[in-house]
Amino acid sequence: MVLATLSVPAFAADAPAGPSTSQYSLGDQTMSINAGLFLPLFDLPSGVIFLSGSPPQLTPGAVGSLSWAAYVSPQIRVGIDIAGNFTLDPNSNVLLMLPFVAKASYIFSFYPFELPVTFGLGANIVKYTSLSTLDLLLRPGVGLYWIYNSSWSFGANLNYWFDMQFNTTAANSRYGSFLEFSLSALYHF
Amino acid sequence: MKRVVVRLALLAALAATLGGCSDAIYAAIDKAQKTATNTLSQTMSVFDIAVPASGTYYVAAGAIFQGTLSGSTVDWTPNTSTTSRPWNPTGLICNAMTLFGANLYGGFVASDGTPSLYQSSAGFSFASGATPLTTQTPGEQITSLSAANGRLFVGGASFSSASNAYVYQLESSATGTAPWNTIFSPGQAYPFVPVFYDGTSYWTASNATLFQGNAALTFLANPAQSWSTINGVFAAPVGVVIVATKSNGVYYSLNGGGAWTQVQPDHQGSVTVSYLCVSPAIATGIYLVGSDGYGYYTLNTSAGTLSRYGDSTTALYSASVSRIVLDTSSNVVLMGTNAKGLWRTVYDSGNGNVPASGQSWINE
Repeated sequence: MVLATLSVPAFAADAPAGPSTSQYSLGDQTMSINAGLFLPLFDLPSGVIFLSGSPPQLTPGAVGSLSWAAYVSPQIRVGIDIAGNFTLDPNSNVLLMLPFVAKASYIFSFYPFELPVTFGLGANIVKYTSLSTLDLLLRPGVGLYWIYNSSWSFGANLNYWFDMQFNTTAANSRYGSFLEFSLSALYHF
Repeated sequence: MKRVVVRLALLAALAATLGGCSDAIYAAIDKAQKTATNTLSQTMSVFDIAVPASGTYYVAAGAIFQGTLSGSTVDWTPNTSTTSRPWNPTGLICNAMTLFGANLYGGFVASDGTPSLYQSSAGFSFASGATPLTTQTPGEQITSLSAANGRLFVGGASFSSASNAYVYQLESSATGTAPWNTIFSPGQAYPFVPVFYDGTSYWTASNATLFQGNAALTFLANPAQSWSTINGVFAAPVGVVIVATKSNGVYYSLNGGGAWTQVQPDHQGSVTVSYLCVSPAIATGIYLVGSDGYGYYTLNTSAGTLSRYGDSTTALYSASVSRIVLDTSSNVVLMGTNAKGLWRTVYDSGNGNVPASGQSWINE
């Protein structure tokens, strides 16, 4: 994906009619593949900073996802994505997350760039050693894409993960915060 | 399209809400601590634990594992490999172990079921320089090894063709070798728990029967009370005898068995103890009692309370505890479990808190 981004021409191949007008409309769809860095931030209400300490409670990890969306208007698209990420605890035990998220994006267009502002809501399957749970996940984010042509865009996403992990023992309920920075290749069809 | 996505979002939120009440993963991660480079299997069954010196631990779990405390971690050798058993006699697995005098004593069994009792070499190895004492071990199984008041006690089992079942016996030796004093032969229908000495009497139990022994090692059954379902007995060095029962909480005596106090657990249900293990005193009047499937309880004989360990984020919360041993010089408590590994933490000998403030249980 990085090579693809670097090898594209400096100017978009298919210029739209107006500089700030979306070239997409109702019914157009997108597929994207994303991969990048996953940063554990902090846990509430315990206040644990995941990256503090030596070794840290959780290491930086990796994230990847596949996403589908459809335009419901020239500026709004809705869709779903399936992601996976992992980080490691002090003993190299894997914390694994597999969320499936429904999301909606409002897209600001500044040709040849697009800036989607996204809000996602979904369920997050979390595995750690012999423990597992299904959490409620809120995932707001913002992206910046360069429109290569009418079919392809390339860019990056910055998403905040707010993972709500409820427990029958209230004292064990936690709200984990994470940050995703991923590069993305987006295909329009 | 909007409708589909909204439905998907609602479905996801509903699934998360319904399924969210599960394991407390982040709470566990909050407390995760770095363990040593060489760790143990977190699912192994621990039969016995011995502490021959402060910071040096031996664990019998089929293979024998040796651990050395360094700072806040314990490095274990051998590691999780089950094929490398440098402390075991060749071809034998260890199911009982105790420190007696300057040596460890181990109960072993071969693949064909033949049991053997070994005295370790000075370096606590059973592999080289160890002395096999098999002729002193009657029957077909060693079920418990314990040291009390300068004597080594061996609980064993033998198959009775008359009853077509195992019967259990108890022997002791003042030297760890012959001559052996036979206490019960033939014995009970259930294994004997380790023998303890409270300064006046020896104590042991075999399922529903409590035994009190005098200096001549003559044991009296059910000395002070008719016990319904005793699963063990423990006599701490301070002279407190504690008895746990299978369905009636915990009984303890503060005067050598003269009077008994029953205390019930602080949660619904009863303490279930399959094979009693009780720690020596953590602090004045405070002991840890292992349970069968409910982790462990803290018994406070001053307050008359029996409190269950309450951190449900650890596997120890629902473990069956087989052994609790203290390293008093380092304030370390080691807890062996059935199929949930060995656990370690630091206790506070002042206020009796387990774990001590700022500490947590580590699954070795």
